[in-house]
Formats: sequence, C-alpha cells, structure tokens
Amino acid sequence: MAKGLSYVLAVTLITWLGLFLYLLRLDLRLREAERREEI
Amino acid sequence: MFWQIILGIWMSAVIVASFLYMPSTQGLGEMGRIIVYHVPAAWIAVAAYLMAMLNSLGYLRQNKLQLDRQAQINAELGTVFCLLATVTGAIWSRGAWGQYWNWDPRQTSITVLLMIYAAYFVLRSAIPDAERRARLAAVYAILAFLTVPFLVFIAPRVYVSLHPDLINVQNRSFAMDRKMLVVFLASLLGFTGLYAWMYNVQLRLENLLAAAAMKRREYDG
Amino acid sequence: MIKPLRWVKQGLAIWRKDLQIEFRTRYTYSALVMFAVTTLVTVSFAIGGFTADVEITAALLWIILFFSAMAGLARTFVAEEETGTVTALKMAAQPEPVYLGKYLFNVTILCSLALLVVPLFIMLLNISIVLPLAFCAVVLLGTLGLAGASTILAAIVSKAGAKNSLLTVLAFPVLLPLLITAISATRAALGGGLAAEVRSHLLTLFFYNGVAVVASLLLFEYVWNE
Repeated sequence: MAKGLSYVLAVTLITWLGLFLYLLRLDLRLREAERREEI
Repeated sequence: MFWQIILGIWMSAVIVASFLYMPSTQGLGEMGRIIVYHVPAAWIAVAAYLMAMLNSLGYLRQNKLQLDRQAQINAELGTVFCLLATVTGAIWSRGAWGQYWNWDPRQTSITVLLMIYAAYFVLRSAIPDAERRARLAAVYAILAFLTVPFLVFIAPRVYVSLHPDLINVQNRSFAMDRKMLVVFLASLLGFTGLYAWMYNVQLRLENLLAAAAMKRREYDG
Repeated sequence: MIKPLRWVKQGLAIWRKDLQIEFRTRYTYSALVMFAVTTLVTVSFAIGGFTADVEITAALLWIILFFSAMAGLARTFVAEEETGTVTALKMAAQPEPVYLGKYLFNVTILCSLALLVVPLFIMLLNISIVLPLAFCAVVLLGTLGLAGASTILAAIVSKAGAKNSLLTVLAFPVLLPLLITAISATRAALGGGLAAEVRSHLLTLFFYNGVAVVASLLLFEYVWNE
C-alpha cells in the first residue's frame, strides 16, 4: 500500500478511536451522574 | 457498554477494510474509497433532519418540551454529519473532477441542508422564552424541510445538460464492486449506530441538565 | 362552506386595511424601491454600454427582487407588533384570514415593485427578451413565490424579536429552490437556454407556490397564537 495511503488510514483510524474514547468517557460519566440522581 | 464496544470495533474494522480489503475504484482510483464515509454521512444528515422534523411536528401537536429538546439534538447531530458529508464530498470532487466545488445538484442540496440547520440555530438563539422558541423553531423546521424535495427533483432537470457524469454517480450503488458494497453497507450500519449513540448520550445529558435546573428552581423559589 | 367564505372576506378586509395604512406612509414601498433602484443604477453604471451575459443579468434580477423582499416584507407583521395592534387583530379574526390578508399585502407590494423594477432593468441593462410571455410568467410566479414563502417567515421573525437580518437568514435556504428555478427560467427566457426547459421550470414554480401557501396556511396558527 502506498505510503500516502497508509498515512490516511492511520489518521482516519486514530481520529475514530479518539472520537470513540471521548464518547465512551461521556457515556460513563453520564451513567455515574444518573446513578447519583436516583439517590 | 456492550453495544458501544461492538460499535468501536465495528467502525475500526470498517476503516481498515476500506483501505486494505476494498479494491481501489475504477476511474476514481484510491480517492473513491471516500465514498464509504461520504455517502453514509450524507444519509445520516438527512435522516437526522427528518427526525428533527418529526420531533417538531410532535411538539406542535403535544406541546411537550421534551420533544423540542429532541428536535434540537437531532438538528445538532445532523449538522455535524452534514459538515462531514460536505467536506468529504468536496475532497472527493477535487480528486475526481479537479474542483472542490461546482454546484453539482448534490452539492447544492447538501449546502441548502447546511443552511437550513444554520438558520434553525440562529432562530433558536434569538428567542429567550423556552416555549415560544420551541414553537417557532418547530414551525421553521417543518417549513424548511418541505423545500428539500424540490431540490431533489428540480436540480437534475436544471443541470442535466452540464455534467452527465455527475448524474451517473447516482447509479453508483449498482456499479459497485461486491467488496466495496460490503464495506459500504457496513459503514452505513456503523454510522447509524454512531448517530444513535451520540443522540442517546446528548439526550441523557439534556435531561439531566433540565432535571438539575428544575431542582435548583425549587430550592430558590 | 361558510367558514372559508368568511375567511376570505376577513382576509380581504385585512388586506385592504394594510394597503390603506401603507398608502398613507408608503414606508414599505419606499424601502423596497430605494434598494432596488440603487442596485440597478449601480450595476448599470458599472457595466457601461456593454451588454452583460444572460447568466449574470438573470441572476441579477432575482438578487434585486430577493433582497428587496427581505428589506420590506417583514414590515407587515413587525408594524402590528410595534403599534401594539396584534391583540386586537387576534380577537378580530382567526389565524387563517390574517395570513391571507398579510400574504395578499406582500404580494401586492412585491408585484408593484416588480412592475417598476422590470422595465428599469430592461432599459438600464440593455436586455433583449427572447420569450416575452415566458419572461412575464416567470417574474409573476417567482414574485408570488417570494411573497408566499416570506410571509410566514416574516411572522416568525416578528415573534422572535423582529430583527430584519433574521428574515434573510431564515428565508434564504427556504427560497433557494425558488431562486434557482426562477433564475434558470429567466435565463432561458432571455435567450440563454433551451426554450423547452421553461415549461418545466414554470411548472416547478407553480408547485412551489402551491406548497408554500398551503403549508403556510396550515402552520400559521402555531406562529400566530401563543
């Protein structure tokens, strides 16, 4: 695979993983807050 | 947590597959890979807007502020995906036809959608009262979306004489290679899951904030 | 059968009222005319004796009409808010005739403007019209469409704090299909395109008008009533 292409693949993958982990963190913090609301 | 992890792995797989598993396209070469991201983003942008419109109709009928909250979230998400679709489209256009922008019917439609979203937010920001804001924004959301079908039908008639190869792009799903189709559909599924998750997270956040605001008002009042 | 008839009568009465008020001050019309004439004169002067491309002049006509509409069409609702007569109007009539009256008023204003602008446009820019009948039809349907979509949006803007620039922001995406079609049809009528296209464009404009007015009638009560 061309060097330029593997670069694009890496960038896309890292961007996605960044977004994914960000959303995951948000989701977990929301769950915690929701649990506190119940109390 | 299970579904979120699955989504994470799924989309990662889609990304890798779009470069390593999928062959490069005929005529568009490596640039054609972007179709796997561009088209699902555009479809989700329209779907989100449709949801916002349905939320708006629901609000007008039932007067529940919850529906207005949902409409706003859908509009925000729709804008995000719309921007993504526009940018990937421009990149693709540059690679395939040499120009970032030339007002191809598709580009015009997606631009109008983006402008509708922008106008929707400007309108919302101009009205401080929650109920009035919800009502007027709902009416606008419905009105504005009614004009979108016009573009879908008139634009091909107006531009048909200029760029025939662009019109043929509409047939791309039939000319797609089997491997590309698989990755494309997988991406579409992933994008839908992503949209659903982002919607869910934002809705929960807004509900929490609303509940906290109400509690604060009870203490103060 | 009785209700729509009453609506029409009330709508016409509101139309007449607005026209009478407008006739006294000519405020709205002046705003529109000032903008339109200034733009026309400026462009004509800049172009000089040359004849500009049909693509440009067709777009120019609709730019003038669109921005004139934005400058003036909100007035009919904003004036009610400013003079405090909204409540009286709400008590006097249902939302539907109010919309009808305001719509007719905006149509009248815009058509009057077009009657002034189009001849000036032809004269100042050395326009030659290849399909005169089609040209008139496009201008008529386009103007009706501008008024049709803008009226309810003007109502929304008047309830949202009555900032004029807000109308332009809201109206542009909604009116874009109309503008694109009108410009293409005008271009064809001025000789720059296929004459056969014009019919489908006119049909589109006709349907746009229909959808705009019907949707506005249905949704207006949600804007008008608190």
